[in-house]
Amino acid sequence: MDRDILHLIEGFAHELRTPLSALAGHSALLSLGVHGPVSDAQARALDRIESNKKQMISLIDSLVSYAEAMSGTTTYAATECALVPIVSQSIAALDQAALASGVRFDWAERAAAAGYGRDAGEASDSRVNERLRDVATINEHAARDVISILLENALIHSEHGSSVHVCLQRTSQSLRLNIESGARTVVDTALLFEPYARDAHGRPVHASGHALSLPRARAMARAMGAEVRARFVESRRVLEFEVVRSVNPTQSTG
Amino acid sequence: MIGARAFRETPRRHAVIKPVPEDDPPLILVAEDNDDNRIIAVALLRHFGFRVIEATNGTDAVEVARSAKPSLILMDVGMPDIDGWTATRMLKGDVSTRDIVVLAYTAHALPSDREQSFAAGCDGYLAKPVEPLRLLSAVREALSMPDV
Repeated sequence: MDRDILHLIEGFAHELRTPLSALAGHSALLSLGVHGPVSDAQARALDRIESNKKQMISLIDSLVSYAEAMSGTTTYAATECALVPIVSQSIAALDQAALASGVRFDWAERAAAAGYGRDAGEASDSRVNERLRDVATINEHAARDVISILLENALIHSEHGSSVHVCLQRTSQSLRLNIESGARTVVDTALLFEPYARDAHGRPVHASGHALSLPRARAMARAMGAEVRARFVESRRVLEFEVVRSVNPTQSTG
Repeated sequence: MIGARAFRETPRRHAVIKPVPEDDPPLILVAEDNDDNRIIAVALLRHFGFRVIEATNGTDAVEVARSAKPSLILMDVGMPDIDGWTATRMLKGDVSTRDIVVLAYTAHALPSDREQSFAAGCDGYLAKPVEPLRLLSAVREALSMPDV
């Protein structure tokens, strides 16, 4: 992406945020009763304004973040981070959304494998053969963003009552996070990473508000030397996301 | 002087806010050129019992602060003529106004803005957009007034 376009998007985002903040501020004053008592119906309407404001701000932030990642001008300062806590916390942040969708995450025993979380005491469980080394030199904030986006999209592509399986694997060559959605309808993975893509019938491919998330996740991952892939497994009708990053040889031993 | 501090998260809508003392409510100067931001801050602070005066540019902010001696100034950084940092330097360099608590109020959340605010002598820092209750909380905290 052209640097001028990035500046245009950043400038426009700033211009959008200013009146949006004003709208939010005035509606908050109404909610607080600053201008007089608020009826229940008015309070519900104000709640809807607030929730739409949050969605708009999130869309603006996503657009700027996508533009920054695509421009190649963003550098992510990397430090050594343990991935298991990042994945665990990202899953926990989606607890409510998962509950609302009737979907559960299957991850706990992997967390135990690395000795983290409430199941850490189960690290000697027979399902766990060896202690997983999950440390990578990455930007924690960006990694958290990428993982959250993939988990969220896996939720969207899972049907009620199914599970999203999350697995972190390390080989001598790479660190691989695998996220598999619960069964749902066929997904054209070629379009998943296209911003605002539409299918052959002109219908949006993505759920509302998610049209930029996967392209952004891929761009951010690439900026950190990782690759995000998706494939639809016909036999089980599941969508599988994978983040793979080569590991430094000095980190891969032990 | 309260020094650099991180303000607490926003209390929710139904949080109980302890009223400002009616006999001696603190005087707040809201120095902000954006009409909406100023109207929101002024309405909020008045609603919760503060006395409030206003300025729409840096020159007025310094003048009003020198004459009215508010307890706290909510200082927009990006005002026309004299910016908020310069106005703060002038006030902190003046023995008659240096004890006024100044909260910088900036449109950008860049670390450099924060550093510049404290270098100018600001006692606290708020990045826009600020939810009204968070703004109220920050003002109360800066004035050592517990919320509840």
